[in-house]
Amino acid sequence: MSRDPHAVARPHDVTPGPPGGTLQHLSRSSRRQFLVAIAGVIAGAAGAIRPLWATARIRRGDPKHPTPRPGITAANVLPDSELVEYPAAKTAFEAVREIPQIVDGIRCNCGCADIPGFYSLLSCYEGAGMARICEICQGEGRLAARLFKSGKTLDEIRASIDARYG
Amino acid sequence: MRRVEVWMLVAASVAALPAVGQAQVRASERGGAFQVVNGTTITVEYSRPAVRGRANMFGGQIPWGEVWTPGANWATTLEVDHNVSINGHPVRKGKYSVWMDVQPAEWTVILDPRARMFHIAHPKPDSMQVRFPVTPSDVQGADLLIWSFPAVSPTGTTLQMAWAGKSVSLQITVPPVEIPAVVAAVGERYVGKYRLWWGKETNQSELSLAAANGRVTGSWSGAPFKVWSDVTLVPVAENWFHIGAMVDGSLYDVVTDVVFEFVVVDGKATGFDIRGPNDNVIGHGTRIE
Repeated sequence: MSRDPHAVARPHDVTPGPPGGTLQHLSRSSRRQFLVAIAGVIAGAAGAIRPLWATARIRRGDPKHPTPRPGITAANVLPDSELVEYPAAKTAFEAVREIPQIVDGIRCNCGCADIPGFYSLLSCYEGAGMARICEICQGEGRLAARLFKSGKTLDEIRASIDARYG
Repeated sequence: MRRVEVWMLVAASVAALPAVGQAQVRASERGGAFQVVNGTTITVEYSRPAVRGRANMFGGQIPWGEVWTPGANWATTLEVDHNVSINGHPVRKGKYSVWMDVQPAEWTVILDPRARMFHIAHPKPDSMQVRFPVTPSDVQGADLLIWSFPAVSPTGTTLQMAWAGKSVSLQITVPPVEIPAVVAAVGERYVGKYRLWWGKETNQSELSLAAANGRVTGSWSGAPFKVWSDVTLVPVAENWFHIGAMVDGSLYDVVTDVVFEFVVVDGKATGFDIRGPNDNVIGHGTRIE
């Protein structure tokens, strides 16, 4: 693809806001804070901390889309060899590999956007491969690719994604 | 002893302690219930007292004339994210503490906009409050106080509190949600008859669309669900629609997981794809008239 997605990025296209969840229950006592912190470290080491999904803040319809990272590629998108057990997801991964610079400018609406390490819809197709099992991630990827092929700009694609999945 | 070893000893000692924050058991544990009705969310949060063998709760443990919160500890709260009416009384969007003036026959429900109040506050009458009478019913069981939504309709829900042999039902009516209007000239694009399949290409049916009064409505013969015989297209974006089922002339169900994407050529729809949540085509329509 020859189009430059940065040409359509707007100043308001900021990265997602701060992750949810604050340590509101810490005691005022510094000693107790210390004990809590130490207990947390030990509990974490023992695997007692709840999984990220249990604490992720679901925020549907958030219009804040990320700015595509300069030079982003599909190098980290899971290869087909990682999709053998997920044949229904294969076409979505193929679509996303063709337009990483667009997909990196889209915020996912499935609820994963607040997970630490998540940057954009592209993140759903990397690492743990959330998009292998998530209909929303797959749908947004396929839709983005379809719209891009039909000549839509990143902003237009974002608007359509928000209308459909927001 | 070296400093590192001291810290390791401290860490090991701490590991043996119970985790801070565990000792939070309450006799009346916190609970809650929420219900969405046509885009309005109604949320009740409360602490849940149990009768635990106590006799003569209303008129005894809770004296007649007491302004009681149907819960325990911090007052029960009711939150609505749109203006609603409860038993015919307008209630503005917001969060309220909930109280009941308990009398032998008729009780008075009190919604106080000061949501964070302790149960012994017993708020006095105030112009900010919403107050209306209710008649409690006898109910079996309900040892543990419960708020629930036993009935839901497209226009509202029943919110019910039950405890200690008594229940109070509140009829909540939510504001209707208007379907965005479709400009007449745009609506005309879609008017006509379409042959379509849904799920499998062998599942053939026909959809006839008409446009009037800012709406595109249709008659779907052979619809996959009987309730979709009469439909309204709910605009999502240009040439994109959700399908809404109409029952007795009222919108009954809008299927937001599925989108009808029309293809328009020279100002007229030639057909449409029906796409599921993963954007795959799960149906297709072709204009035949």
